[in-house]
Formats: sequence, structure tokens, C-alpha cells
Amino acid sequence: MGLKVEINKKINDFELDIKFQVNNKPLALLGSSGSGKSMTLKCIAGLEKPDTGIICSGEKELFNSKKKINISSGQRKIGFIFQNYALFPHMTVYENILFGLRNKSKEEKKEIVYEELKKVHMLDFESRYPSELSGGQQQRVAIARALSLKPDILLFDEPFSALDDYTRGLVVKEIGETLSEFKGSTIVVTHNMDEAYRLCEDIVVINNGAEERSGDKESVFNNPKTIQTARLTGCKNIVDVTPIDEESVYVNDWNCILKVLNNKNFSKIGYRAHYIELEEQDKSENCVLCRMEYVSEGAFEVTVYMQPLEAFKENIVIQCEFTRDYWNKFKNNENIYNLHFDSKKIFTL
Amino acid sequence: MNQEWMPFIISIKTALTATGITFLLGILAANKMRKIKVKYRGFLDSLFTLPMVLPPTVIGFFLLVILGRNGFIGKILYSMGINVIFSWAATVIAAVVVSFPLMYSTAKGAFEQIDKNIINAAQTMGVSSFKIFWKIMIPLAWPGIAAGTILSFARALGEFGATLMIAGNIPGKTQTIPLAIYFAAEGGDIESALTWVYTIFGISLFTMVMMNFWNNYQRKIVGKLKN
Repeated sequence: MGLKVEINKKINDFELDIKFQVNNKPLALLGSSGSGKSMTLKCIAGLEKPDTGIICSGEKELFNSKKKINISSGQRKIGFIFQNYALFPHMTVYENILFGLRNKSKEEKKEIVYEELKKVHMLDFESRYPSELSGGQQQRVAIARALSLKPDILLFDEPFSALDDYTRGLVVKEIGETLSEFKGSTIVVTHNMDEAYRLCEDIVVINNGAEERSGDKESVFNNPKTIQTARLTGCKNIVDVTPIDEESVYVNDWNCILKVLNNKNFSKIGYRAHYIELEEQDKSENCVLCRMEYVSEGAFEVTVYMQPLEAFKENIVIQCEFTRDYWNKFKNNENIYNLHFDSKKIFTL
Repeated sequence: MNQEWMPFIISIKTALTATGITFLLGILAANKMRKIKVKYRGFLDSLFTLPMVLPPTVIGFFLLVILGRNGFIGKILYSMGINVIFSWAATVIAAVVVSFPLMYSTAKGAFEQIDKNIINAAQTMGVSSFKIFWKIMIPLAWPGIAAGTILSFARALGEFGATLMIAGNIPGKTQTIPLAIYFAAEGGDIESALTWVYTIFGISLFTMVMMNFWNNYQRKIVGKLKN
């Protein structure tokens, strides 16, 4: 039961022109705000109509501009979980789930509602109103409501954005369990790489209305290939380089030479803040001597902003992420540090 | 005694009938606007709210032109033997035209306040348009619609200029309270005029109290729902 999407839609100056496929594994549609990811979701759900293209759920064509097929939203068998859950505020939890059920006896409907509520652990809340529920609880009801109609496709629009840290942890587990039991295709739209990584297996990176990078999460994360993908997957250091020979590049702003593994044409490299290591100051291979500019201490991690000593300009920043213990071990009073870059982990972009 | 009470009876009959019609038309128009293409929306919206800013005599004039014997609609009606001018129906027509914009814009505002995702969710669930309208939009927009209804009633009750032009001041048939007040004062019968003034004043005060009640009720409900 796959989902094939190939659509084009022009809205004012923005053009959505995207093509991708969802298999049985959950897919994350990763993009920044305004990239077109929510519009894509709405087109799949039938809430918006593409200008041209095809949307296919398994063998069934939901939309085909050439054949003039445009199945209405309600007939597409899609469960949509909105960012703000969109529960009906004037109905109880029970009534919310009951609302969409039809062509069944009263007894059957009741059974379905209870079954879905049980799956999301919300049976005790059946007579509550949405305003009396927390965000996480509302989301669970929204999921139950969507699943009660036995959809073929599940669409999540930024499921974690409205939740606090603690609730997020619980909800990750809930959604994760739901997804592992769900037999259809799932798309999770998000701008958060962590969300994407935790919930999904495949990732499609969308930028400016088009898909820029797609693949399973490991390859997208370890080999972003494009600048926007690197940014979205949390890469904090992206710099221009000039190739020197097959193995090395000259980093313009850092005024140093680094060895890389990839020989193809590229003009930039990226390196994750988490992968930077601190070395003894006499080491030089793939090392950059820096002066610490600023330290931002988080609760569990420390972000250190370094200025390369050899750089020609001021305000050149290399961002490093260390655990507190690591930083405490290495920090010194001279504030000079030797940053090491593992050539295996350098991205070429 | 009965004759003296006629303005009251006519006013109430007119205002209630007009409010009923405006209620239905206003809600339907507000709902239809959601589905109309954006480029036509501005024009239609202006058309529907126009009677709110036009002087009642201008409205009365237009209605006279359209519904009169030689008018666009009047011709058809006349050929069927119907003449609305100077009939009781004309008081209702005038009241509907001036109160419609109030009902329409209040209902439209109330519908627009509903979170679009709620309607989207219902659509993806396969719920019919009618069920969405009846079971989701109306209940959620209800406080706004109720307020609009009360305002429409007040406006319909107080209508004078357009009523005078197409319904005339026919005692016992089309003489509503506002008309009675005007002509009583004109004729020097201050006592009658005053009686009607107090009557309208009482009804209007009661209406405003109801408005406030609904406003507070709406604030409570919306506050609860938005939570």
C-alpha cells in the first residue's frame, strides 16, 4: 500500500513542484517554514487542489489532473492529525470520535469508539471536553478519531511543535507505537530533524516547493549532499572551500587545509558541531587552532563558539557542541583550543 | 381601543417576520460566501453590506423602482395580480433589506472565527457538508448568530424611511410604530407620540440588555472553547 505523489501548484510567487513516494515505512517530510510541506499535505488530503499532477494511493488514483480525477477529501480514506489537533470543542471526547462513524449500528459505533480510546489510553476521559484536556491528551484523541475511520493513509502535521519537553517524550512513544501498528502509509511533516529521525524511517527534504534530498534517515543524516539538507539536519558549520587536490581542500574563512574523503565537485563543506573534538595543541592534521569567543551553557550540553586564529577576518565562528563533562575536562585558562575534524565525517555540499 | 394598538401589532408582526427571513437569508449568504471564489467575494460582500450605509430613503427609492408597477420585479408581480407597494408585505420587505446586512456580517464574522482546521478535520472524516454546517458551524457560531439576530430585530423594528416610501403610512395596515410616532408628532398629538416613544424605548432597552447578556455568554463560551 504505497503512496505516490507528483504534483504542481502555483500560489502567487510560490511554486510547489514535488515528486516522491511513500512505502510502508513512515516518511518524514522535512522542511523549514514556507517550504511547502503543509501545502503538500493538504493536497494529499484533498483539502487543496493541485494545478497538475497525480496522487495515487496503492492502485487507487486520488487525483489525476489529466484524467480529471479529483476524489473528495472524505472519500480518500485519510486520517489527518492537525498541528492544533482540531478537536470539536463543543463535543465530548466520545462524541468527537463518534462523529465521523456511519453505516453502522449504534452498538457497533460504541464498540469502535471504546476500542480506539483504549488503544490511546484515554478511556477514562470519554466524557471530558477538549478544553479540559492537556495538549498531549488532545493529540491522543485526535489520533483515535482519525484511526476510528480505518484510513489507508495517516498524515501528521508537526505533531510535536505544541508540546513541552516532558509531554513530547510521552507522545513520541504513543505515536511510535501507533505507527508501528498502522498498516498503511504515513507521512509526518516537520521542521525538526529529531522528530523526523525518531518517528520515521525515510526522509524527503523539501525546500522552496521541491524535493531536494530523499532516502532513508541514516543516509540523509550522514550524507546530506545539499546545503539546505545539511542545515535542516542540524549541521551548524557550513563553509566555502577551494579544492586543492584529490584529497584536500582549503577552507577560505578558516585559512586552513583539511583532508576530505569525497573527490567530486563541491564548493562547500559541512561539519556537525557535535563531531568536533578537542586535541592536544601540537597535533596539526585536520586541526584548526582557535580562540574561544563565547560559551553558552545549556542544561546538559555546552555550545562553544570558536574563532580560528589564522583566519583573516574577525567574526568567523566555528560552533561546537560538547557535553558538560567533556568541556570541563578540556577547558583551560588561555582559551586556546585545537579543534580536530574527522575527514570521514566531513560532508561535501 | 383596538385601532389604537394597531401600530404595535403591525410593528411586532413586521419585525418578527422580517427577522425570521433575515435570519435564514443572512446565515445562508454568510455560509455561501465561504465557498465563493476570492475574486468575486469582495464585490458580493460590498453588495450585501451596502444597505447598512445607504440612507433608508435611498433604499426605499430603489425598492420602489424595482417593485413598482413598472419595475424589474414589479412588472412580473403585477402581471400575477400582486402589488406589493403600499401593502403590509412592503413593511416586511423594507425591514428585511435594512436588517439583512447586520445578520449577514455578524454571521459571517462568527463563521470566520471558527478554526478552519476543525472544518478541515470534519471534511477528511468524510462528514457531509450539511452535517458540518448543522452540527459544527452553527453550534460554534451560535453566540455570534444570536447577537446578529437581536440586532436585526432592533433594526427591523426601528425602520422608518424605506418603509414610508414603499409601504406608506396606512393606519391599520402598514403604519408601524416609528411611522405612528412621526405622524402623531406632525399632527400635534404629542400624547400618542410619547406613548409610542416609550414603547419603542422599552423594547429597545430590553433588546440591548439581551445583547449584553449574549455578549457575555459568548465570551464565556468562546473562552471555554478556546482553552
